[in-house]
Amino acid sequence: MLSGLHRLFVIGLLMTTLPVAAETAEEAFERGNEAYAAGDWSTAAAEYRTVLDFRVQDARVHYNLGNSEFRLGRLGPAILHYEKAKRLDPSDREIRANLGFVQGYRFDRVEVAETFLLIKKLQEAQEALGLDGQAWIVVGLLWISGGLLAWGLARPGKFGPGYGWVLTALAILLLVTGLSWWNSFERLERRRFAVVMAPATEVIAGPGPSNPSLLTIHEGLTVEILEEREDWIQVSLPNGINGWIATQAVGRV
Amino acid sequence: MNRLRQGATGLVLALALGGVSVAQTRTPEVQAYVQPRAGITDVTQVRLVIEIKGAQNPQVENPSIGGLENLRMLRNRPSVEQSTSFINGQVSASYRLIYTLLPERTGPASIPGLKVKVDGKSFTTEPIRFEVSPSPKRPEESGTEDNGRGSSGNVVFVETKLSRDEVWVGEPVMSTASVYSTLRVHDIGLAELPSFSQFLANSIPVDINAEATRAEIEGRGYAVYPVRRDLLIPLGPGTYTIDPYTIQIQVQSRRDAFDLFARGTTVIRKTEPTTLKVKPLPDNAPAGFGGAVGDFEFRASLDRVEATVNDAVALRVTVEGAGSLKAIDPPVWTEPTGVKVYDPEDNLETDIRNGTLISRKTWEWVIVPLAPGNIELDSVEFVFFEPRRGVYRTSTAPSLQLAVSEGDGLPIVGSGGDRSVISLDQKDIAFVKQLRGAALAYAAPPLYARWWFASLVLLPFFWVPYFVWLGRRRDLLQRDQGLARGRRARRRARKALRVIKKKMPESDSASFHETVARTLVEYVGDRFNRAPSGLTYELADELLAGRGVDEIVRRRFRACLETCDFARFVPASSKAARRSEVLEEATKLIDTLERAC
Repeated sequence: MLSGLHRLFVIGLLMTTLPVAAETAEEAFERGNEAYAAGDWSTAAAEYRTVLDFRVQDARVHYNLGNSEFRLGRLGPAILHYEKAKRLDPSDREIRANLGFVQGYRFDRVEVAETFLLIKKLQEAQEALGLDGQAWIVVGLLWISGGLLAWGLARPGKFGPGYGWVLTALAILLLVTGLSWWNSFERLERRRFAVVMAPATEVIAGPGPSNPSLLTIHEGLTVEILEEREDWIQVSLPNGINGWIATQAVGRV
Repeated sequence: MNRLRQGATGLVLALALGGVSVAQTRTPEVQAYVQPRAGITDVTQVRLVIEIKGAQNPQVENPSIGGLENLRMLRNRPSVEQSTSFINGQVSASYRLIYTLLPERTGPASIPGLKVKVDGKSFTTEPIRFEVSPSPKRPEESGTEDNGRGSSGNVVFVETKLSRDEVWVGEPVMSTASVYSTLRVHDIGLAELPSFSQFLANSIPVDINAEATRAEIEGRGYAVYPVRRDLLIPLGPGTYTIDPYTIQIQVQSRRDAFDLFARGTTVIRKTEPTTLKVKPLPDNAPAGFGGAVGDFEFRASLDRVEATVNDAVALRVTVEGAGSLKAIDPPVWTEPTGVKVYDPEDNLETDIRNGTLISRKTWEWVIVPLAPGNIELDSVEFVFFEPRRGVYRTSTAPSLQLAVSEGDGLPIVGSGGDRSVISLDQKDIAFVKQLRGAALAYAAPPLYARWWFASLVLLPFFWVPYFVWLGRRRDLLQRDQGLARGRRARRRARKALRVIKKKMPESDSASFHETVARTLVEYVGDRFNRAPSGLTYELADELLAGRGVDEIVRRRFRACLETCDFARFVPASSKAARRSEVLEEATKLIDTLERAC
C-alpha cells in the first residue's frame, strides 16, 4: 500500500517521463517544422525527438530529424534517421535523395557494385509498393484464384480449357507476387543495419579488444549487423569485409 | 561310395585349412633400405624405402625422420606404394613409404633406425650406412664439382650471380640462379632454395625458355637458362653468405637425340654460396629520414587551386625512382591552420627494369578547408639516402596555395567531406516534410503480423476443400436419381405441408386431408424411389418395416393415413382443430421417419 506521499512522488515521476497529455504528437511535429523553418535546428531536433517519445513510427519524423541533425553538423545521427525513414517508407524519393546527399559527406568512400537494370527496376517497384502494398496484392490474387478454383470445383465438368488457362495464369501471378513479397521482406525487414556514430572506430578481427585491428571506419558509414555478442557486434561492410566493432560506436537503424 | 565321401571330406578340410592359413594374420615385417643400394654419388637422389610386408591395408603412421648424417630430405611427405602378389599359392602384400634424400657431400652417410607404427604396434628398422662417392665423369655430364662446372667435354653447370657484391642497408640487390649447358636441357626445377633470413626477399617471375640466352665461356658456347631471380633488400649491415640454390635438370645427350623413347638423365646441381657485403648507413641521417635508400624524384601537388568551405581537396605526394619504397614512412609536412586533415592513403607500384627495382609510391591526404581565405601549405620534404654517392639527400617540393571561398554555406560537418560530394548535382538537402492533414503513424505491428490479415490469407485454403466436397456431392446426386429423391424427400414434404397449413382456412376438409395423405405417401415414395401412384398403404408399411422403422411409428403412420381417408369421405367429422392436429402429426411423422430410415 503506497502512502499518500509516495503516491504523489510516483505521479510526479510519471508526469516528468511521459509527454504532457494535453500535447499531441502532431502539435510537437508542427512546432518542430516551425523551428526548422526559422533556422532553429536544435529546437527542431528536440521537438522531433519529443514526437518520437509518443511511440510515433512515421518516416516523416525521422526524415525531418535527419534534416535537423545534418544542419547541426551531426553526420552520424543524420544518416541514422534517414536510414530509419527509408526503412519505414522505402519508396519516398526525398528520403533517398537526402540520404544520398548526406552520405556524400562521409569520410569512407563506399564502392557499391552496379546492379543490373532489370533488378534495379524490380527493386524500385517493390519499394514503391512497399511490403503492405505487395501483401494486399498477394491476398487479392489469393482470393480471386481461390474463388475461381472453388467455382470450378463446385461445378465439375462445366468449364472449358479457358478456365484452366486463366487459373494457371493466376497461379503464376500469385507465385511471382508471393516471391516478390518474400524477397522484399528479406531485403527490407529481416536484415539489420547500423550506422557508425563515433568519429572513427576500429574494425577488429574478433569480439574483444585483444583481437588485431583490420581497418578503421568513420562516422556515417552504414553497416549490416550479422551477429551480436555482449558489447560487440559483427558487421559486414559495404565492400564485403566482415569484422567486429564496439556496440557503443553505432546506432541501430 | 565311401571312398568318394572320404575324398570329398578331405578336400573340404584341405581347402578350409588352406583358407585359414591364408586368412591368418601374420606379424608384419618392417624394413628400411635405400635405392640405389650401391653406387651413390654426391649428385644422386636417394630413395629411402620403408617397406611393411605381411599386413593387408595396414594403418601406418609416418615415422619421424631425424638424425640423418650427410643427407637432407628433399620432401617431407613420403609417397606411398602398395602392392599385392600371389606367388606359388602365397599371398604377399607390401606397403612402402618412400622419401627422397640428397647427399650433402662425399663421404660416409647414415640413416638411423626409424620407429614405425603399424596397426598400433611399434617397429624399429635397422640403421643404414653407405658411402657417398664423387660423381663419375660421363661424357655428357663432365665435372665433379657440386655446381657441375668442368674443364673438358660436355658440361651442365649452375651459377648464382648477385647484381652487386657490396651494397648499403636497404639497397636492393638481385640474385639470379642460372643453368649453363652445352647440351639440350629441359624440365629445369628448383629442388631447394636459400633461406634469405637476413633479407627482405621478393621472387621475381622468370620465363626460363623465353629468357634463355647464349654465352661464351673460355671459348665454349653455352645456353644460359635463368631459373630463379630474387630481389633481396638487406635489413642490417654485415657480410652475408647466401646459401646455394639446388637445381634439378633433365639433360638430353646427343646420343639420346636419336632415341625416340630416351627420357634423358636427371642431374642435381648446386650453386656455390655467394657472399654479399652490406654497409651500414651513415649516422648523420637528417630529421625526416624514413628509411628510403635509392635514387628518387619527389613531387607534391593539390588536385585544385580553388575550393569552397567544406570541399574535399586532395594533396598528392609522389616519390619515384630506383630503390625500394615498401616500408618507408610518409613525408612529413606541417598542417596549416583552418583545415582538417585526414590520415593518408598510400599506393605502391613496382617494376623491374634492366634488373633494377623501380618503385613509385603515392600518398594522398584529404584536406577539408574549414573557413574561407588563402591557405598556404608549407613545402614538403622527402629525405632519402643515395647509395651511388653515399650521402643523404633532401628533396623539397615547393609550397602550395589553396584559395578557399565561402561556397554555398553548407554547415561544417564533423566528419569532413568526401570527394564524391562535388560530383553530385544536388546542392542541398530537401526541405522538411509537412503533415498536410495526414496524421502521424504510431508504432504498430506490421500488416503481415496481424491476426486478421493472417485469417484473410488462410481462408481460401479452408473454403477450397468445402467446394471440392460440394462438387462431388452434386456430381453424385446427378448420377443417382434415387439418392437425389431420397435427399430431397423431407424438404419437399415439409414444403408441401407448409403450403397446406397456409391454405388450411380456405380449403375444404376433403381436399385438405387428401393433400396431407398424398404428401405422406409421396414422402415414402421419394425416400424409397418408388412411384407414388403404385404405392399402397400396405406396400408403404412393408418398405418402412424393411428399413427397420419401429412398429409404433408405422402404426402412427398408418393411423394418420386412415384418419385422412376417413375425413375425406366423412367431411363433417373434421373440425378445424382436428385438422391442425392431423397436420402436426404428419409433420412429426415425417421428422420421425427421416431419422428412422
